[in-house]
Amino acid sequence: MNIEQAISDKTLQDWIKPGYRTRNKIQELKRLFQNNAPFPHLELQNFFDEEKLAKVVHSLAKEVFLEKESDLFKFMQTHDFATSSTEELIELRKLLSSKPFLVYMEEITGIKLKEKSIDISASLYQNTDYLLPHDDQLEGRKIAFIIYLSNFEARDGGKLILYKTKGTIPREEEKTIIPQFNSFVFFKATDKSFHEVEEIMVNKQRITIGGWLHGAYHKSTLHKAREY
Amino acid sequence: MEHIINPLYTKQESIEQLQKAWNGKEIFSHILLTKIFPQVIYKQKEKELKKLFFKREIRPDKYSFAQAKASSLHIFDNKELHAFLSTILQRKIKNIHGEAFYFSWKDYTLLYKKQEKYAIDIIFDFTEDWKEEWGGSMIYKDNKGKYLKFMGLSNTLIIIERKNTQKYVQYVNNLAKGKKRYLLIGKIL
Repeated sequence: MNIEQAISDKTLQDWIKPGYRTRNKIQELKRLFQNNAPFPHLELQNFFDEEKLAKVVHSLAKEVFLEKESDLFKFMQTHDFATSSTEELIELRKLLSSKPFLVYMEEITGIKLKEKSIDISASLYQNTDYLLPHDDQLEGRKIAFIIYLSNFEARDGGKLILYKTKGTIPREEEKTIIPQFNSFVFFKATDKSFHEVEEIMVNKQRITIGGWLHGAYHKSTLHKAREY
Repeated sequence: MEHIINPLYTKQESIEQLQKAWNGKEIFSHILLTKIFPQVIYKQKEKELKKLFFKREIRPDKYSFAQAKASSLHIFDNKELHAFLSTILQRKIKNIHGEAFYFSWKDYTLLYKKQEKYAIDIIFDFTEDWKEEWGGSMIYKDNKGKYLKFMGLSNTLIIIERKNTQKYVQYVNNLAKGKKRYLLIGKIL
């Protein structure tokens, strides 16, 4: 399947706003992705069809969020949508792991992705919750993605912070992304993609859907075994 | 000369109980002693500790805290402490390597691989009026998922054996704004 065929796909057209499906826009996103610092990433605002995303938000109310806590994080998370029986979540998972969507992502990122290979769940951060700096690198993970389902202000906390690295050591914060409903953020998962979710500092809920798109299995990426 | 260890803990009966406690734990041999210093000594040491020159140490993927040299407090090199620990642990203690730390809002340490396979940690907690919900607890964890959690408690001594065990300090959150968790952390290798 080529990019023309991918963007003509009915499901892709139903979910992704027209402005993000033109040949010119895709070329622009490709350049931005590669040039964005501190590592390749994009923040695409108003990316999905609002009506569809609103249904997803509504359906999350039926999901169970479990407490997750370790040295690195404290927040709540659902099980992977692969085990969900909620129609809207199954549909979203199907879209994000479909051939047309992967071809679209491959075109922008230049990264070869594996069909139907996705980790996807929803997260809920409340006051004092956090995810400290880490690189997301684990076998097969190629692209980390986040769909924001809440609106935050800078003073609320909950920003996604991207770190500048020296070699593979994170040094300082270089970019922050404030959660905005219907923003789709993704970045290349490497040993340099250090990022964190800033602590929530107000009584608001930060809801996201996130996960990883996978590539072919390579032995060289098998040096870490930490999952979150 | 003033004793630095609370005399309650140096009575023969207490020593025997402490030795039994140290040897009796199935996992994580540990002892926690509250009011370890007589009150006058504690207040004096606390004052000196807070006057130390603390330097911020930040490595985002590993830790964030403030650290200072603790030698001027003369706690880790105190002969009475060495004798007390030697009796409880039933091994000769001559040296304790230790530093002073404080953890405030946004501080933490993460689990990472470069920790000794074996050590005995000697921790003096100087944290005043701390709440568990602020974070900052010290967690010891083994590879089977068992763990011990030490919350901030003033004038307390924690002795804990690390045998293939890792430790971290929980992230200190915004509820602790303006507060500091002071610790003297020493180790016997």
